[in-house]
Amino acid sequence: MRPVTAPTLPERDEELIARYTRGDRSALEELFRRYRETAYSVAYRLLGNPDDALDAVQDGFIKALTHLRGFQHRCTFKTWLLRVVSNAALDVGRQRRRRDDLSATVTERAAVDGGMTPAHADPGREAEEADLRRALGQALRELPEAQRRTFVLHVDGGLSYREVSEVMGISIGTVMSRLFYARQKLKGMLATRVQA
Amino acid sequence: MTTPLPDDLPPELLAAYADGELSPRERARVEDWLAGHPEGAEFLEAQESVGPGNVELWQSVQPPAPSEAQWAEAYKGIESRANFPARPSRVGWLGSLGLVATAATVLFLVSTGAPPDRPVAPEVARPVQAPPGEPDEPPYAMAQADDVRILSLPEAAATLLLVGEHPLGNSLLTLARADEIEFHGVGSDLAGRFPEVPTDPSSTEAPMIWTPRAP
Repeated sequence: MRPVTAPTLPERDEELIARYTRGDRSALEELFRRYRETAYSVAYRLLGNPDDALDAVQDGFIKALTHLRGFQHRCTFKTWLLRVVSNAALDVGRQRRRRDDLSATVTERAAVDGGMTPAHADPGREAEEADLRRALGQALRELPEAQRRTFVLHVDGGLSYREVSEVMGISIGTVMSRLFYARQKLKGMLATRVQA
Repeated sequence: MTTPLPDDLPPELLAAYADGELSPRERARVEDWLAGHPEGAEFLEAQESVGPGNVELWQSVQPPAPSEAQWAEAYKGIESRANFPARPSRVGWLGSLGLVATAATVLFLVSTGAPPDRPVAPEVARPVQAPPGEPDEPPYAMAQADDVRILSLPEAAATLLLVGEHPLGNSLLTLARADEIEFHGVGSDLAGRFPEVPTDPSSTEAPMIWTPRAP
């Protein structure tokens, strides 16, 4: 008879943070693995540039961990992290606007050449998706910053309305309102590219 | 989109409806409204088509994924700057700011065992040179308990000394608690510098004393 082992539940964020504050590096690594994709997705959508997004993720993790006092477990670590990462991304974006802006085509191409992995191996499909991604990025950049951040935290960050309201310090009604108008504008800008 | 916004339903409820964020009561209200206002379907469609429920859309516009090497590099940067308790910032603080002598003469900690009514001989800390190849300074320059020997402080500064929790909120360093400290006066360091104590002695907003940088 084969021995039966109970499935191991993933360690809770609170436990990882406690281990991290005791100097356990493996806890930091696990926290990073757990949230790196979500954080990167939020940063990328706010910036439209993979390299800048990675910088924002790195900066955001460092700030989130060195200012854990501000976290104080009043929200989840994920919402705390995404708050800091999205702030870091907006800071990076403001700095970037002072530089000459490379076209999305160039930066995305450079990203792929530089090691960023396309979603799949079909070149035709990848080109279509890259085109749609650029169009979405352009449309997002045309939104007011508050609407863009609210939208990205909800859609890419996977945060609920309540969590978005905690991250941004706004009411749930304001979250609803920003999302409504952001989507109306996005739908108008993306027109027939997007179907329900 | 030329249809005017509906005026008898808060439009943002349509966003929340599309996202499944409404209570059953609010949901029923929206559904009743949609049944009587077919033109509202256009707004709902916009909310659904660029909402998180459109899985196909979001899968097709996923950001280009970083390679494992790029993730590893990013993690390395985080790890090198994370403030682990096992990696005290003492050398960086002392070496970079040159506050050594200040620390020596300004201060004392009662928890070291000196009776409060007995004069405490000043101790002189020696400058600590950062060894070659020391990593970049930590972002916050702070002293550890054994960097500082508090000899005396004015009573007015009681709420401003190194008391309470430090701003980083972890166990990177240990600050004195209020019940570990008694105040007898403030002295200058060997260079004649005094710590800068905030002018409002009743303030509880300034948890630390700031000392001048070395020239």
